[in-house]
Amino acid sequence: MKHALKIAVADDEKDMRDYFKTFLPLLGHEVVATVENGRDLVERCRTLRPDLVITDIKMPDMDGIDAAAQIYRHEPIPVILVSAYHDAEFVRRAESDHILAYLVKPIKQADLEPAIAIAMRRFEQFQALRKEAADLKQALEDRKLIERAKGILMKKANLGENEAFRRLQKLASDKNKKLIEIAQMILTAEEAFGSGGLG
Amino acid sequence: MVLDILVIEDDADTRLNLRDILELDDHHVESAGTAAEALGRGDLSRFSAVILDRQLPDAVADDLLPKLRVRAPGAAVIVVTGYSDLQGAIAALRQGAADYILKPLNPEALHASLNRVAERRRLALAKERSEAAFRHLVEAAECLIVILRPDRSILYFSPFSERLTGYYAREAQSRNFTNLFIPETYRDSLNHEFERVLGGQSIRGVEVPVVCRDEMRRWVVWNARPLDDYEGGPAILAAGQDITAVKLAQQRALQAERLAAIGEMMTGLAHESRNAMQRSQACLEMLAEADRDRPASLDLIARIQKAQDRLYHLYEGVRNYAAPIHLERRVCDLREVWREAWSELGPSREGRTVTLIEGDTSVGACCSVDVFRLGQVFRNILDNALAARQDPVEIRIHIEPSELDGQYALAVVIQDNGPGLDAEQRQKVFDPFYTTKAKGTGLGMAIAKRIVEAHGGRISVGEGGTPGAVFVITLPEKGTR
Repeated sequence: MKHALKIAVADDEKDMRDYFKTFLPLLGHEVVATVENGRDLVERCRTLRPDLVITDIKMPDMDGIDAAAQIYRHEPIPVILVSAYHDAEFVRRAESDHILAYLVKPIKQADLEPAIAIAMRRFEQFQALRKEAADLKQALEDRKLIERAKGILMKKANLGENEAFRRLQKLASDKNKKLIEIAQMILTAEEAFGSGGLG
Repeated sequence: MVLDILVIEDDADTRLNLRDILELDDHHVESAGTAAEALGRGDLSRFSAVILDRQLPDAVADDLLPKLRVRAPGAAVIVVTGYSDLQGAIAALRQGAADYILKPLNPEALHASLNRVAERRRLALAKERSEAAFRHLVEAAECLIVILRPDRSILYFSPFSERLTGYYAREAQSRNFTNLFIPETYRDSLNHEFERVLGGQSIRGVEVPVVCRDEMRRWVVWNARPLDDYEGGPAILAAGQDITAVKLAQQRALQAERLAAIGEMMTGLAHESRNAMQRSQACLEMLAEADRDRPASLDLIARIQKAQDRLYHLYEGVRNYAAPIHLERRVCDLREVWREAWSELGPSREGRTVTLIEGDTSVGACCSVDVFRLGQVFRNILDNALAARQDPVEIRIHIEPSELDGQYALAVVIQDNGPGLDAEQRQKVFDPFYTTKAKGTGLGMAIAKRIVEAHGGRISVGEGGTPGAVFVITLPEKGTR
């Protein structure tokens, strides 16, 4: 029933690494990497691309928050921080959106399961939102190009606005291409034939 | 200086003559013709000078002088005598006469003699006044003043010394100062200082306590100097100021500092312990997993877990209590805050018959507070109320306008129907680690007090007319009006 996750864990305490190795499989997950510091965590995440990272903050050789930031720059992977400290400074640094949970030690198995579930759910929501935002941005860009192509048609073929737009649609449908692709073609052609007047 | 003068002279001419001379100098003059007449006056003591003829019909000066010394102790007696009786004049001086003048009377000589009397009298008066002023000063001074002989026996013990130590001057008189008042551990050092004083030096700022009659110690800072001649011999004048209050304040400040340091240490310790606690927790759970088929082990593990949870709560309690409180205030309705706290207590209310009864809700309840922190205060009080008795539990809560240091304030009054607080509980309920609950850390109300005080407010145990504990939280309303 549960979706099995590939999880990378980092903690400089052996007891904690053993703990995660014992209990994450019991929760139905796979521990793909157990490391002792931030640098190793970044490296292993790059090659293993886990679904989730659970990391301590204070570790030798790069702390968990810095490691999380580096991992995220490469690929968005959700991170759960588990630390004995929750000073204002740490909390502030941990306020980036890929850090989805901040658990204060000592934690129990009973804390771990819901924390993972909630973190994954929120990560999915974030990702969905992020995609939606990217799509909207693209749509806006496309719209600008289509408007410009329509303008060229109106001028060159002496068409009204509605007719020019209908012609674009017809072209797309005839050539089996997207509206934006037709618009790009027209803009490219205008650039080739035009006297650089489009600049 | 105008003098009241009595002339005792049997010869009427001489009497008149004397009166004329004396009244020319503005003195007030009375006269008597015989010794009996003079001694018959009821007001002899008011005279500052007596001019006495050596040969009276009913007495000679030698007999009269001792009587005058008693009856007119303030009067200087000038004996009037003839050339032929110089021996008599000398005898009169021995008897305490101040001066003599010879007949026939020479106004210049009389004048000079009276001037000497007036001058002596003026000096004596001035001395008396100055001594009275000094005595007044010494007696009024909020300061221990003692005068000691070189052997430390007490000659003078000021009224303030009496008040401070609880010993009367007459009890202290001639007893050994060091033995009577100075704690044994300080005697050597004080005696050493007194030796320096006797050697002619002044000492200042020597802090030595005195033990009072009730055996309480008062801290005193002493100054002392030698007196070359006090009532016929060398002495030590010591003046001490009671600095007990200052000393206590210093001690309190020191203790507060030490407590702050301990607090910081405890916070650090509680913090650092989380890592160790986590490892222990991890291993415990792994052990439970490994031993899951062995009920006896699991039972033990559960017991360790319980102990560890308790330890964890204690540490967190201490950390909460000792950690600095940074408030994040916003204006909100206090009712919302306690309702939230009440709903958070849901799990401990489940299956029980408990009611929270809110008083008049038309009273304004807006206040600038840290919602999370104040919620903690309400949770603690409500939780105590729930634990105070068996069902049915009834908690009444209402708000009333109040006042705090002359400022508008809101008082939240919370009353339960439990057994209430006894005298000891009332006194100690806000002390850290004081608890009557089997499971409590005893920090809940101590933390509540800290939080309320961080808001500039006050929390107190109210006077409950009916059974039940009453807590009153008073919060300043400033910034919300």
